[in-house]
Amino acid sequence: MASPISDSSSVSTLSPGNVDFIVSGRYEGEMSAPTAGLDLLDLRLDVDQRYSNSPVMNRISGDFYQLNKITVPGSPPVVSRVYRESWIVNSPELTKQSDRVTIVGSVAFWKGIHPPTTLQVVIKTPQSGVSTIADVSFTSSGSQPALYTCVRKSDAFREVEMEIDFCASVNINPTLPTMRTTDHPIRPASTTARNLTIEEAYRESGVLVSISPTHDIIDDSDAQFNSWSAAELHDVMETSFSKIGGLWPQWSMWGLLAGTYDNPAVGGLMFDAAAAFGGAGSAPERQGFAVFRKHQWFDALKASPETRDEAAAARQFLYTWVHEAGHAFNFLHSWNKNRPNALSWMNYDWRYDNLHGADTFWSSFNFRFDDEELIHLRHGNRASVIMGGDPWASGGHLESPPEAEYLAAPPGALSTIDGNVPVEFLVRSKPYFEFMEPVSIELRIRNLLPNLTLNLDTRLNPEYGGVVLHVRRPNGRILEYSPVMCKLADASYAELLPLSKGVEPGNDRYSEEVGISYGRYGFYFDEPGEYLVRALYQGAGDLLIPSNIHRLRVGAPISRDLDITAQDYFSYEVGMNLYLEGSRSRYLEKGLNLMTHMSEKYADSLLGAKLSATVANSLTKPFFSIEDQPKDPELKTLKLKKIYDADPEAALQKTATAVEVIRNRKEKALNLAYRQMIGQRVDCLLALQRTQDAQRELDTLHDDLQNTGVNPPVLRRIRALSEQIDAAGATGRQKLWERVRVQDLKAEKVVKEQTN
Amino acid sequence: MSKLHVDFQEGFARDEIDLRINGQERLQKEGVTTNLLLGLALSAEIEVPDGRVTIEIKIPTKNLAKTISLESSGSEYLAVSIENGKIEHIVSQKPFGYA
Repeated sequence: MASPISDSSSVSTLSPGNVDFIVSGRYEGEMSAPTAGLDLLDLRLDVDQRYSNSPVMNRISGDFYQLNKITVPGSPPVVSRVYRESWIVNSPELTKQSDRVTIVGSVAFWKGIHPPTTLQVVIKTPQSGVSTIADVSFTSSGSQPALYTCVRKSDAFREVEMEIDFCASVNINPTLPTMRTTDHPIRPASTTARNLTIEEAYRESGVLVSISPTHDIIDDSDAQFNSWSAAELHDVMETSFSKIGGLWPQWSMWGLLAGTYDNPAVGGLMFDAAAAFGGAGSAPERQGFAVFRKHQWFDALKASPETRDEAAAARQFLYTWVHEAGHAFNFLHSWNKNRPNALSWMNYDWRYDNLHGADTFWSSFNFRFDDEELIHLRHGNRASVIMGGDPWASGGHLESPPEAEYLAAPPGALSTIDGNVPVEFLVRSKPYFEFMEPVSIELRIRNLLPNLTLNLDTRLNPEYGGVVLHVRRPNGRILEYSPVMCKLADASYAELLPLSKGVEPGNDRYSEEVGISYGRYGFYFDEPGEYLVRALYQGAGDLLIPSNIHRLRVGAPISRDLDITAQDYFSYEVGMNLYLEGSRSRYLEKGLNLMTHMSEKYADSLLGAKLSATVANSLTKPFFSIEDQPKDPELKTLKLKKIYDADPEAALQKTATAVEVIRNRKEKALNLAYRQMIGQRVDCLLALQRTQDAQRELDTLHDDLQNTGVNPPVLRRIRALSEQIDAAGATGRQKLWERVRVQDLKAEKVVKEQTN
Repeated sequence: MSKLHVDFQEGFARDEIDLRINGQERLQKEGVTTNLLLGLALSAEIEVPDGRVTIEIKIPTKNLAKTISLESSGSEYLAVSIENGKIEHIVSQKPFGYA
C-alpha cells in the first residue's frame, strides 16, 4: 500500500514569525458549504510550537465524520456522528501576515480514490477571550469547494482515556510513574528540567491522556499463582476494563500493574495482539498492556528517588509505561522499523548501547518518540492509530513490515458512531456454522428515538447499495463483502414507530435475512475459525449508521469425506447457486447437482437443510434460456425459450425434511431462515392450489415463532396471511427474502383492513 | 560452574537451533519464532564450566552457524539474533530486559 506519508526530512520548526499566536492544535467544525451541516471536520494543525518540549512535525491532518441530524419537533435535533475517512498534508506552506496565518497544501487521503485536492486554512488573529477559528476549504477539480469553520479545541491532536488497575501484590507506592528529568546524571546536557508522567510524556507527544482516577485492585494472592501469561492478562482485561463491552475502535486503553510475567525478563507487555506476535490473539487488538513491577528493573523504585539507582528505576518505570502504551498506539520497536539508531521510547537502551557504546542511549535520549512515530501518533490514519482499529503491526502502521499491508482495514470498516444515535443497526446470526453451511445473517434496523416515527429504507441487502458489510477473516484480514450483483431499485420505505412505554415492541424495527457466503470475490467463509462481521447502513438522506461487531465461528469439517467434498464445493458453480438461491442454468448445473447430492447426504444437518432450500428454490419457477448458437453464422436472432417448467411438487418434497430440521432446532437465530422456508413452501402450495396445507404450515410457523418470543406484529402478519390465504396468492418471486417481503406487505394490508 | 543465560532474540521464524558448549550439545529446539512484541524468541539458562568456553550456535533451517568464545565466571548473558543473514551476538554482564 502506498503510504501518504512522505519522508520526515521535511520536518522543521516554523516559528510563528510576525504573528504572535500559536495556531497548532486540534480544531473541529461543521461544513458550511456546499451543504451546511453535512459533515464534520476534525482538523489537526502541527506547524508551530503548541506545547513545551514538543517538536513540530510540520503536518496537517484530519478526519471527516458524517453528521446524522434528525429534526424533532419541539426539541433540539438528535445529532450523532460517524467516522468516514482521514487525510494528511505532508508539506504545508505557511504564510504569515500581520492579522492572519494562511496554510496551503496538497491533501493525501489514506484510502480510496480521490481527485487531486488542495487545502487552504486561514486563521485570523483571535480576539482576546475568543477561541481561535480556522476557515478551511478543500478544493478538487470538478466540484465546488467544501468549506468548514473550525474552532480550536485543544493543544493536543488526539485524546485518549486510560484506565489503570493494580494487582494487590504490587499495590505499593509508587504505582504510577513520575520522574524528574534531571535526577539521573546520565542525560543529554540540554535536558530541560521537568517532571514527567505518562500524561506529560504523551502531552509532549501531542496526545492528551486522561488516566481514570480510580483503580480496581486485582487480588493475585492465590498461593498457586506465580506469574502472568498473555492469555490471563487478556482475560482479566475482559472483566476489569469498563470499556471492553462498548463499540470498538475507541480512544481508550487499559493498563495493569502486575507482578511477574511468565518470562521474568519481561518488564512490560502489550498483550493484546495476534498470537503470532506473542499476544493473546483476540480481536479487537491494542486495547491493553501490563507493566511488571517485580521485574528487577524496578527493584530500587521509590516514590522520591535519592540515589542514582533509584533515579534509574524511576526512569525505567516511566519508560516501560510509555513504551507499552506506545505499542497500543500501533508502534513496533524501533529496530523492527529499520531504525535501530532511533532515540525513542520505542527503542531498547541496551540495543542502542550495543551499537553506540555504554550509556549512550540515556545520555542522548530526550524523552520522546522519534519523528516518524510522532507523525503516526498525531497524523496517522485513524484506523491504524486508534485502539481496536487495525491489528497491531498491520499495514496501517507507517513502518509496516513487508507483506503486512493486507491486514489493514478497508475504508468504513472501523467506523464508529458518537452522540445521540437515532437508529440501531444490528448484525446477528447463530454463533456457529457448520463447515460449508451457507452463512446468512440478520440485519435489523430499529428506531431508537422516543417520540418520532422514522421512515427508513428497508432494502438491507448489500445488492441495493444501502448497506456495506465488512468481514474479518480468521487470519485477521478485513474484507469488504461485495455482492455479485448491484441492483437499482426504488427505496422500500417502512415507518418505524417509536418504542414508547407501554407500546408493544415490533413496529419499531425491521429485519432481513441476507446470505453472505458468496460474493464477487468468491467465498467469504471458506476456512474454519472465527469471523467478525460489521455493517454500515446508509439510510435515506444523509443517515449513516455503523452496526455492532458480530462474531461467528465456522467449524472444521466433521469428516474426511466432507473435507474432500470442499474441493468441489468451494467453486464458482456452487457459489453462484448459493448467491442466486438456486439456478437451473446449464452453466451452473455442476454446482446444483453437487448441492442436490449433498442436501440428500446430509439431510439431517443444517448444511443439508439450507442446501435443500436452495435446490428447491430453483424448482419454484420455470427457467428460460436461449438456444445454442445457430449453425448459420448469418443468423443473429437467438430465441429465448422455456428450458424447465416450475415443479412446485418437487420443491415441496425437497424441503419436507429440511423444514423439520430447522423446526426441531427451536433456535431463535433460525427464525428468519424458518420464515423464508415456509414462505417458499406456501408459494409452492398455492401454486398447487393446496390452500389448506399452506394455511396449516403458516399456523405451525406462527405457533413455533410464538414459542420463541417473536414480537406480536410479526405473528399478526403470519396469522393474517393464513386467514386470507386466498387473497394472498403466490408471490411469483424466486429470491427467498423477496417472497417474505411480498407476503408481509400483503399481510400488512390485511391487518390494516382488519384494524379499520 | 557458571550460568550462561542465552536469549535468542530477533529474526527467528520457525527455526531449528542447536547450541553446543565446548563440543557438547546443550540445547536443541525446533520451531523457534521471535515474538515481535518483545523482540525475544527463546530464553535458556545453561550451566557452563568456569573459564573460557566455546559456544557453537547452529541454525540449520537458515544454514547459519557461529562460534563464540567467552570467559565465564558467575553469570553471563548472551543475546543471539539473526540480522542481515548472519548470526549476531551481544555479551553482557547484566540481564537483557524486554518490554
